[in-house]
Amino acid sequence: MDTIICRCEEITEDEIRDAIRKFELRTIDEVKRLTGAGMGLCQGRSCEPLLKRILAQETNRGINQIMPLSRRPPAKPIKLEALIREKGNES
Amino acid sequence: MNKIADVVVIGGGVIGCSVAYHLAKRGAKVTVLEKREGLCFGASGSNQGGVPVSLFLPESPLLELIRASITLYKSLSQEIGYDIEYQQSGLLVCSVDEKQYPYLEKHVQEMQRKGVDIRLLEGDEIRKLEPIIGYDVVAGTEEWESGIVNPFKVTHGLAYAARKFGAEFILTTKIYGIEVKENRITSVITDKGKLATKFIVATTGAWSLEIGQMVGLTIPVRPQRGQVIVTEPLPLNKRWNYINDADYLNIAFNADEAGNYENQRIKLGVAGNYIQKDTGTWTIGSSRDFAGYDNQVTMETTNYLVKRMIQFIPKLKDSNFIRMYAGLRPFCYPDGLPIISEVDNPSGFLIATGHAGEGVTLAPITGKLISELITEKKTSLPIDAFRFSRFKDMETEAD
Amino acid sequence: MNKNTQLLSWTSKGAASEGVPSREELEKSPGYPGMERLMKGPVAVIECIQEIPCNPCEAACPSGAITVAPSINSLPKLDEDKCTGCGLCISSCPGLAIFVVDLCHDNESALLSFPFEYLPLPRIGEEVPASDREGKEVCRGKVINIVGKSTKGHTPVISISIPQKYALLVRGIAIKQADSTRQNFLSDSNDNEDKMRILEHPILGRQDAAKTVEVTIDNKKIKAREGEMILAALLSAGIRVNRFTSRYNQPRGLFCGIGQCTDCVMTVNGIPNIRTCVTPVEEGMVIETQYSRGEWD
Repeated sequence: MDTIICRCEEITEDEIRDAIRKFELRTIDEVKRLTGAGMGLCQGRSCEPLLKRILAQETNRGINQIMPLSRRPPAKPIKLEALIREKGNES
Repeated sequence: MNKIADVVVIGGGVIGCSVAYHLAKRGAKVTVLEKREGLCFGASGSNQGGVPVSLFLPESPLLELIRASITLYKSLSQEIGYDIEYQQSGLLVCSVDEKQYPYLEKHVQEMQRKGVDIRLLEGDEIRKLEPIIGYDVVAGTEEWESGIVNPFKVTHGLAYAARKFGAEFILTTKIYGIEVKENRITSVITDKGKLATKFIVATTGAWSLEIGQMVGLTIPVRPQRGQVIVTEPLPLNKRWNYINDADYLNIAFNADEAGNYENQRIKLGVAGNYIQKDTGTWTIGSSRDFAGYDNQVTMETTNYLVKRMIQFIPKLKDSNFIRMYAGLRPFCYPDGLPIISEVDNPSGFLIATGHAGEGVTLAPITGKLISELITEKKTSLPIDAFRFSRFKDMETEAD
Repeated sequence: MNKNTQLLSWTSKGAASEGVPSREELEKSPGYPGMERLMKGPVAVIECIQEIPCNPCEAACPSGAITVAPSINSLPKLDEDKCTGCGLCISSCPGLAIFVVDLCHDNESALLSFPFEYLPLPRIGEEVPASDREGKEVCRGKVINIVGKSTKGHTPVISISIPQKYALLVRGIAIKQADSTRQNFLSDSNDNEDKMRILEHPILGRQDAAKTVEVTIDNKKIKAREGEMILAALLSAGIRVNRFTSRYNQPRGLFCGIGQCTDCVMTVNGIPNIRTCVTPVEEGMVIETQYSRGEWD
C-alpha cells in the first residue's frame, strides 16, 4: 500500500500529492483542510514536517518558504470540563 | 494574471468560488482575486459545515433561498466531478427551557405549512432514540431536509470546476483601487498590475467595508466572531450528527436584541451547535460577538460553550478537546440578511456578501443568482429582500 | 620507536567528500603533532579540522597545552612541549576527535588511547580488532587499560597496543556484536515479564525497587511495576499491539513514546484515547485494545 503520511487519519502520500496538484495548493493549512492530514488526534505533530516537504517539492520551493500549520490552543489535549473549572477549584 | 476579464470576483471564499464557477460555466472570462496565499481562509474556513433548514423563522425570505441551495447541493458533487461530502444528516433542535415549548409547537406547524419535513418530539422520546442527549432537554424538533457538508471541499471544488471552465485564481493579491469612468466600472488596480473588466463582484465577507469604500459605497457588513471547540475522535452517534440549541434562532437572528439581555451567555451569543464529522470528532459551537477583526478564542466564551453543551450532550464533558478556533462571519448589521445585488452607481459593481452564519448554506444559490444577474439581468428567484438599495430605504423610513 | 618501522598512511579526498579527514587536512590542523614530537613519547593527537564553537579540550588540559584562540571557533592548538600525553583531554571532546599516541610503548608496539562510547566495554587483556577512521578492521590489538565507567555520562577511554606501523591509521576498535558473556545490563530475573525491562541503565543508573501492581489487559491479568507507564507494562508482558486504526484497520503500538504521535492510545477504565506511553499504571486498571474510536458504554 502507498506510504502513509498522516498516521492518525491514515492519509496517504498519493492523496496528498493529488490534492496539491488538483487544487493548485500553496499552503499546508489547505492541504490539511482538504485531505484531513493533521486533523487527527496528534494535530500534525507527526506529519507536519512531511507535509511541508511534499508541498515544497510539489510547488518547487524551499521548505523555509512554506508557512507552518496555523497554531491554536490547546497545547495538548485536555478535558472539555477543564474549561469550566473555576480558578483554584480543581475538583 | 490576465490583463482583461469579463468579471473580476474579489474574495476567494465559498461565495466567491461559487460565483466564479457559475459565471465561468456560462462562458464568462473570470478572474478571482484573493489576498491570502490560498482560498477559503475567511469565514468559509472557520465554520462547522452545517446546512440547516429548520433554524429559520418560517416567514424569513431566506427559507426559499436555502431550500433552493440545498437542491443544488444534492447534485453538486456530480456536477463538478468532485465529492464535496454533502450529507443529508437531518437536524435535531433541542430545548432546555420549558417556556420555549409553545414556541416550538408553533414553529413546527408553520414549517410544515411551508412543506418542511419536521416534527415535534418530547425529551424522553429524543433520549430513547439518542441516549447521549441530556436530561435537561425537555423537547425538540427533528427535521430531515438539513444537511452537513465539507466547506473546504465545497470551496476548493467549486474553484477546481471554475478553473476547468477557464477561470483564473490569483492569490496573494493586494487591491489598490477600482477605476470608474462615467459611473461605470473599468478596471481593478492590483499589486500585480491593472486588470480591465466590465463587472466586479465583491465577495469579500467581513472585509467588505474596505472594498465598498473604493467605489464610494458603504457596505454595512461587520465581522461577527464565532468560536468553535474541536474534540478528539469519539464513537459515532446513533441517529443525529447535527444537533442544535433552540436558542440559536433567537441569538442568530435577533442579535441586537440578544445583546440587551442581562444573561452573559446570551450577550456572548452562545447557542449550542454540535456537529460530529465522519472521523468521529465533534465540533462544538456556536458563539456570536463583535470584537473587530480579532479571531482569537477567548476563555470566557469557551467557558459558556462548554457549560451550554453539558445541558445537551453531558457525556462530552469528559472527552478531550484538541483544538479551538474562531472565525469572522460577515454580519450585515442593519437587518442581518445577506446582500445579493447590483448597485446603481457605479454600474457593473455587484455585491454578494453579508451571509453571516449561512454562507456555506447559501453559496450554491448565491453563485447562481449572481451569474443570472450579470448574464440575464434577471434572477430565477426573488431577491428583492437582499437588494443593496434597501439600506437607503431604511434610512429614509427612519427619518 | 623502532627506527626501521614505516608508519602506514591512508588516502582520502577529505572530510567533506569522504567523511574521513585526509592526511593533509590533519597536518594542517594546529592540534596535530609533528613526527618529531610523536617519536618522543605519548602525545595528544587532536584531529579537529572544523571551526565550530567548541572548547572543552582547552579546559581539560592540566598542563595548559591546548589553546582555543582567538575565538571559540578556532581550531585547538597543541603546545607539543607542554603536552605530557596524560590523556585527560580524550574524554572531554564531544566530537571524539582527540587521541593519545605513544610510539615508545615498547619495541614493536605503539599504545593508542581513544574514547569509546559503546556498550559493552571490552575487558583488559582482551584481543580486539583495531579499526581505521572508516571503521574498517586493519589489524589486531590488545586492551591494555580502560579508564572511566560509562555511568553518569562519563566517556570511557580505552588504551590498546597495536603494531607500530598502524599508529597513524588505527583510531578505534570494531566489536561487531555483544557477546552473551559480556556485562549484561538487563535484569537477571528469570521472570518472563521482566526480560524487557531495563533495571540498570548505563546513564540513568539502577532503578529503585518498586511494588508490584496488577492490571488487566483485554481481561488478562498481568503484573506491572508501580509507577511505570502502561506501555512499559504491556511490552514487558510481550504485548506490542495497542490498537487498530479506523480507516485501514492497521495494528499500532509504541512509536514516539513521548505522548505525541497517539499511536499507543488505548481504552483505559472505559475511557478511549488514553496515551499509554505517558500514563502510569494503577492497581486494578482495566486496559483494552482500542478498535477505531473505541466504544462508549
